[in-house]
Amino acid sequence: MTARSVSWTDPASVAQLLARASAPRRAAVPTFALANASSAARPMPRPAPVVAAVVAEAPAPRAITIPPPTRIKSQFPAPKLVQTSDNPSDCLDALLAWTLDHQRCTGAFIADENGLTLAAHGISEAHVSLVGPLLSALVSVRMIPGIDATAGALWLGNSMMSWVESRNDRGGFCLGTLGSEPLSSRAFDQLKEALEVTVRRL
Amino acid sequence: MTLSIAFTSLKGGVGKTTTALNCAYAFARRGTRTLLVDTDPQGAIGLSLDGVSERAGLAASLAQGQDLPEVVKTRLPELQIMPMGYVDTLAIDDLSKCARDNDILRRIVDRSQAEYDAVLFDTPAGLGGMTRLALESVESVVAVAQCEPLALRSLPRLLDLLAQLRDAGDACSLLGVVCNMSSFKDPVVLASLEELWALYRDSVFDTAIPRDSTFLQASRAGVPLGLLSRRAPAVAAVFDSLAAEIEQRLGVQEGGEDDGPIRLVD
Repeated sequence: MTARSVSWTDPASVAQLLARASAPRRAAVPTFALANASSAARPMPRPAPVVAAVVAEAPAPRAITIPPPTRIKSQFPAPKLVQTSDNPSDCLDALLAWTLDHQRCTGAFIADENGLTLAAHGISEAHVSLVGPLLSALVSVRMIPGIDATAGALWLGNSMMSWVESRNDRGGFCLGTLGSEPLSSRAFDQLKEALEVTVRRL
Repeated sequence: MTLSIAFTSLKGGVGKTTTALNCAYAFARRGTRTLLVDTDPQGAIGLSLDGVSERAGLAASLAQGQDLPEVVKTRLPELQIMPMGYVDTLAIDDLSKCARDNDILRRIVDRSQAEYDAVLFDTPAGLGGMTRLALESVESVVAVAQCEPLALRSLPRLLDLLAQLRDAGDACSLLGVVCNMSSFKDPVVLASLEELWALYRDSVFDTAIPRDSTFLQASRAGVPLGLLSRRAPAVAAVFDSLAAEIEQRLGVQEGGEDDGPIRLVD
């Protein structure tokens, strides 16, 4: 059983809603625009495209290092991962394919607790190796009562690496993704469940 | 300028009416001239207060095409109540439509400018009908959240509606989230509390309303907590604290320029 949040709520979306729902009041809409149907229906004049002009005159931007998503992922809940093979290598490949198919990411990886890559797509081994010191550092964090620390996200400078961790009697394993933003709490739960299903077969 | 505040929740049974009623009483005790308006077609305020349920109110005024109903005076000169009155069950849908056509809640806010310092709206559960009308009419919204999973899961829907109303030009903004029926004994309640604080951070009022049997006693007697007995029960103080916090968040200055510390001993 995965430890799911009580609210089933994505913290990032709550933060956005709070900003929209609590921000200082905007300028009031002039009443004549509401009272007069013809003027209300009339489109407001567009401001001059200042930003567009500036962009046109600016030097060419640096190349963006985040690779574009290979496909637009569905926003519906991902189907549960079902592992049918007893071959560990097949199981890892299935987990990687499932992750790439159903999570908002441009790359994914599976590593052991030392940061050794077991399977990866769209992410360098150098980045995956970060997992080793990262998980070691989190061991002390887990000593704090009530802190799970088996999932997280790390800003790499131009992309966000998100990961979940699970253990069996062979040690710890880590499933991670690379994308432009951290995964939602629901996605973390899905990843963790899929990793646990896989780890049981390793 | 008169404060206008709606106490709202998508989920029912979270304590909106209890919070609105006892906050109104606390505001009045602080000297704030307060009008408590019942916008719930079930007449929740009327059902909570002995002596109010038989009074005509908003519903009758709307049905008869009259102007605003007469307010009910209370033993506190600073607190007056505008009840909903009886609403035929089959006419509940018509009520909110009629209220919208007459723009009655906004008119209540407008008319209150001279007579009251604060207008508090108790709203029905849900985000449509009278609730939406109330949200469109007020400046501030207090989201009431019971400390349990369902209430937490429904809270983003209220925020989403507020965001959409603001995008459409309405003035309403979230003043804060108040935790209701909190307890440190039940692990699920505790987990809900922790998650509420983690997700909504500064939006959560410091004052949490505890689960306490005194609320049932007040409900049975049909009175605000502060009037349950000559010596008000200790739990009534949480609403003094919440009212103070609401005023603080709204930047209400008490007493004007001359206000300040008062010596206990001269």
